[in-house]
Amino acid sequence: MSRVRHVAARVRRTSRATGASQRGLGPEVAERLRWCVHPRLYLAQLTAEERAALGPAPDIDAIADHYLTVGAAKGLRVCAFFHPQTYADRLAADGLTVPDGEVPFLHWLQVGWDKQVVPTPLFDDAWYLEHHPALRTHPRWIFHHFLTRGCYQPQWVPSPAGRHHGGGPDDDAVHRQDPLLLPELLHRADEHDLRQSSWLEAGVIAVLAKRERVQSAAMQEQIAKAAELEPGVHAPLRVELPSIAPPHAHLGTRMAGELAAARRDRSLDVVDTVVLVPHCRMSGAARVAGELTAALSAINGEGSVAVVATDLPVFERPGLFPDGVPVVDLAHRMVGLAQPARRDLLDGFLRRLRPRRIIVVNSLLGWQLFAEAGRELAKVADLGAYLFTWEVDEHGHRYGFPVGPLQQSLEHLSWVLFDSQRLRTELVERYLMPPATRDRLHFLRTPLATVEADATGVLERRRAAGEPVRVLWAGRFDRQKRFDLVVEIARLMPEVEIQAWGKPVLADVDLDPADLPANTRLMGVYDGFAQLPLDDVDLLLYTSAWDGIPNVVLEGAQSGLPIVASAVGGVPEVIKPATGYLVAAVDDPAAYVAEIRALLADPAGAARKAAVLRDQVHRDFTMDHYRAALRRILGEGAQA
Amino acid sequence: MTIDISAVLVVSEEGPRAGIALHSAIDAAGAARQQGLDVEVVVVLAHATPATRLAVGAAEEHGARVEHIGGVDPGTALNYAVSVAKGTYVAMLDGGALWSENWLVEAHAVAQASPAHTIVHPEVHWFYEQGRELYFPPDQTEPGFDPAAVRLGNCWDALAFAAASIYRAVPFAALGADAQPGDLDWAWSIATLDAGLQHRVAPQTLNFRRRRPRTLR
Repeated sequence: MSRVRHVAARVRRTSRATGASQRGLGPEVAERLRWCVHPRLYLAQLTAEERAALGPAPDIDAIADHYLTVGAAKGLRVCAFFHPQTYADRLAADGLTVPDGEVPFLHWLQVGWDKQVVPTPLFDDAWYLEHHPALRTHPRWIFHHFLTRGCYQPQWVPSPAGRHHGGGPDDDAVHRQDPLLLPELLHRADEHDLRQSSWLEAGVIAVLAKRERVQSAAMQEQIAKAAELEPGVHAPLRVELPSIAPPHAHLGTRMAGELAAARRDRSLDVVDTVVLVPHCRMSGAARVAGELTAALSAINGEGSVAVVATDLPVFERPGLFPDGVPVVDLAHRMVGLAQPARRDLLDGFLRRLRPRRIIVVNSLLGWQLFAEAGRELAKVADLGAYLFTWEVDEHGHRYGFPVGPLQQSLEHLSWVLFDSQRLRTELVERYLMPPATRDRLHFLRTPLATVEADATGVLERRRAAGEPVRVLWAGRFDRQKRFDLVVEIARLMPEVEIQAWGKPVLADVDLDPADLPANTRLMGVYDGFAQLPLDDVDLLLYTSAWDGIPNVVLEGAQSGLPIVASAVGGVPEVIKPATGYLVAAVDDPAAYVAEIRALLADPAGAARKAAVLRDQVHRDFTMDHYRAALRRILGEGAQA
Repeated sequence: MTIDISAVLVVSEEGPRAGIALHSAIDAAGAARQQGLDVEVVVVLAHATPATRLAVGAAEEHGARVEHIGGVDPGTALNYAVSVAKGTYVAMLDGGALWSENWLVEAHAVAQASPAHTIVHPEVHWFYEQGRELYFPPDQTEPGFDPAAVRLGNCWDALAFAAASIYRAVPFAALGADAQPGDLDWAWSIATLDAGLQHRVAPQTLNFRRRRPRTLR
């Protein structure tokens, strides 16, 4: 029985007893194995069926188990830092070999580790220590530092061939055990037998060989002659910087490959308009991007628009975009890249699509591109942007797209769209904009979502029936949305139940469900306003500290729900004394309570206001108006 | 008599360092002559500062020809340098750089295989101001080389070795004085690829410069 079968059999026996198969290796070696498991590399070597059997997101133990029971015998690699040939070579240099029948990686875990044999060309212990002198006091084998920390953080340089990745941070990489260099390691994966090597490892070996050639007598003679003329060439007193040797270890090579793959993914050739979005998750801006895309498709025809996600590889709500519009997840292709490579990759992608028009909708990378390359880009395309609101930091200072990015890009923009009049007016006044500039700034009412929800009469029915008062709050549990106010309001109104729908997205507040008052219920995530139980609530409460014209307010208005809302951003353009209950003291829970009580004291009056508001938004916030206005702004003819 | 190689040193604001560059060019020219090549050394003062003029003040005493051009556009200065070169091949050197002594001989050997299509680079760019940094320019015949990558990151320095006819057919872009270091190199790399030229590497040769341009990545 081969060693691996023996181990696997032992592991299976142990697993049945303990549920943790790696323990069959002994606790110390099992721990080493866990440090070494890199799920993405391992999964890349499995068949689709094998991956499916492991489930959508197998954890480290599941991968380790699978490796021991299946992968090791097939020669699969579970660790990005185990290169079989390098291990064999370095072991041979110590006069050792892996015994026949043994799995080299398991041999290294049990033997090579203790002899401190570095089994990869990607790490050079002397280089690592020289370039990170603080690690000289590291209490363990220095390779252990790189394996458990250094490979997940961009600042560590493990080899004369550099970092092996694009330099972009990924705070979650350590939890996923996803070394930052994996995109480079998996580059051109179809050209390599990943069980043995990869694009990255072949490249690093090539770089090291080129460096070795510099040590040849012929080159050393040339170097010595140059140093006779200029002793400074040896850069005494300074540490050496990593070597670069294209095509390997050259960012452009990976970027070109990613660009080609992104275009191939969606069979993109040339498009008329590109809409740049950051990602697609729960946000009003994502819905507006969807409406904009639908309108552009209607104006310019099917196949004319492409959506490109640039900032985060998160695409939770693709349904917001119309069928037939290609959505390119370029963010996924830029994982691990830092600036300016990310900007250059987007630039290169756009230039190949040759769009007539590029529109930024909250894409940070898009704004950076406009700021830094807008002058050149504007020569070949009309550049446009959508603005919703500024953000506010914890000290109350404004920042965000309408502040710095707009300032850096405005001269290159053909037009800017706003979802509220308020922000447009503020910018015009603050910049003392001349007509030529302000004429490029356009307020567009976001069309209502196509939902059938109708809460007309619900308030009066529920009040007449003496039902417990129930308040609806829906949104992201983020700092901007001021869920803390909701909690205070709940404490001030113990007779009222507040149903809160949504989830944290930005994770910028601490929310402890155990700390909530009993009359506050977290209802979970919702997918569209129509999904909310509008027949069972009396009013919509909106508490944001800043915003444009928020979707949730529009959707509440559209359904006929009475609304109590903070007077921020564009909200007063919709909620007025005749249409709802506006809270001017937006930070004061008591002010919200007063308005809620006023609403509940006169259900008939509240219902009348809601009806006026409902009529108003159905009249003003229509897709027809939106498309007609957009067509005018874009200089397009009447729709055929 | 036909001149095989014009070794062209373009100087502007390097100051005393230009003297070392000149010394390096003269040594490389001497090594080439020993191999039977006819080499002229040309120093082009491109809007040179007084300190730079002083640094190469003895150029003619060492057999170099000195030319002048005003204006501050680097691409225009390089095109001018090509226009005054009399050699079949032109080797460009920056006033802040050094060649390995074997550069002209080895580059000439590589270029001769296909003179009309070959641009030759050293095997190693050795940068030294911020700590030694080795850059190995790719040979276009190397497996894995993707020309599309050059549009996203430059691979080659424009101060290379090629037939004068190549420099004349694909002149340097006039990017203006505000262009960043490396932009000219990158633009020329793309232009030469578009023209169907091939970038090759001369084994065991080096070019020494203080700092790697940001575009060479």
